[in-house]
Amino acid sequence: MDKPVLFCYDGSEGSRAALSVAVELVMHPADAVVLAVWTPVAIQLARGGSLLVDVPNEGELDESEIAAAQRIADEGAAGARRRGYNASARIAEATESVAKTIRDVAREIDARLIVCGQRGRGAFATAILGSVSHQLSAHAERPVLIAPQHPAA
Amino acid sequence: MNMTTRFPNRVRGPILFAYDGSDLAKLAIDEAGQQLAAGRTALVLTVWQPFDVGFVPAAEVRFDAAQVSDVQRAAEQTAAEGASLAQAAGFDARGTVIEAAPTWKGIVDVADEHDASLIVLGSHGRTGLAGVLIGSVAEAVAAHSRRSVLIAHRPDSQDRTSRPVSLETGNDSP
Repeated sequence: MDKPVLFCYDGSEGSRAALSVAVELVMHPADAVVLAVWTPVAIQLARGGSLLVDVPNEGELDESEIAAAQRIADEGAAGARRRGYNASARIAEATESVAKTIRDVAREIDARLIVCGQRGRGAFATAILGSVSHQLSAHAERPVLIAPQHPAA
Repeated sequence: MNMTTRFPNRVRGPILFAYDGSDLAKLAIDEAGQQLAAGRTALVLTVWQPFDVGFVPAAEVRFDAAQVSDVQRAAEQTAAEGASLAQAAGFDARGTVIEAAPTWKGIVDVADEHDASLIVLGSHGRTGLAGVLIGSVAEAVAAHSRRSVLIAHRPDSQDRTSRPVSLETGNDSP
């Protein structure tokens, strides 16, 4: 089986914990893709309820979001490699929702498993748990491993 | 002191399969067998309630849902069936039952009691009520447990959604 494991990674403690948990539980060595999702500034503002229509330096801000996502993905991929995965970094833009973006990337790479933290900075946790509660049967279609940030002792 | 030494038993706790006898619960066991490191111990749990039952009886089992002892016996048979499937999938498995309501709480409690390293379940806990209860048990377990949760999905669910229209692709498109 050469399908990769897809790690949703946002650099938070929760997503780091997910990497460790996966090493304990999931068969490896295996191929892995470490995904960091970035959200365009205009969408972030709209979600935040901003009435600002034009952000003068929107492009610049997006560039910095992209750069940050790339750094996070690279850091996550390095962590996954240290833990024995053959991992590559990947970033993707969330045009609709983070959950949908993860789903789409999972499809594209034909992931055998999606791994995410239970509580990240909010986006992943909300996206995945949100999709679990509301749209899972339609959207997640692949096995999802949700790792707790603070595992029970 | 790092996390590994602080939680020395985390890795060793059994994998807990929440097993209600549904096709999806069976699929979840298969899925776990393929995804997880081999040779793990596993506990196959069937949660039951009188009247409401809460699981799919093993084939040819007839019982009166109002008779508590009958429901429990049927649940034990369902759990045993799940344990056989888990054995076949490569786990060192045994079945167990608990009377609990709501179902998710029984799963979370048994996981804590046995210090489970992982809870495995289908994205909905029941057959026959799909569309009403989809995701409810899995959602509640994931939200309430401080343990890792692996959720399996129906393989055909992909067909029900349209393909993504816009996707930021890399440079590896065919």
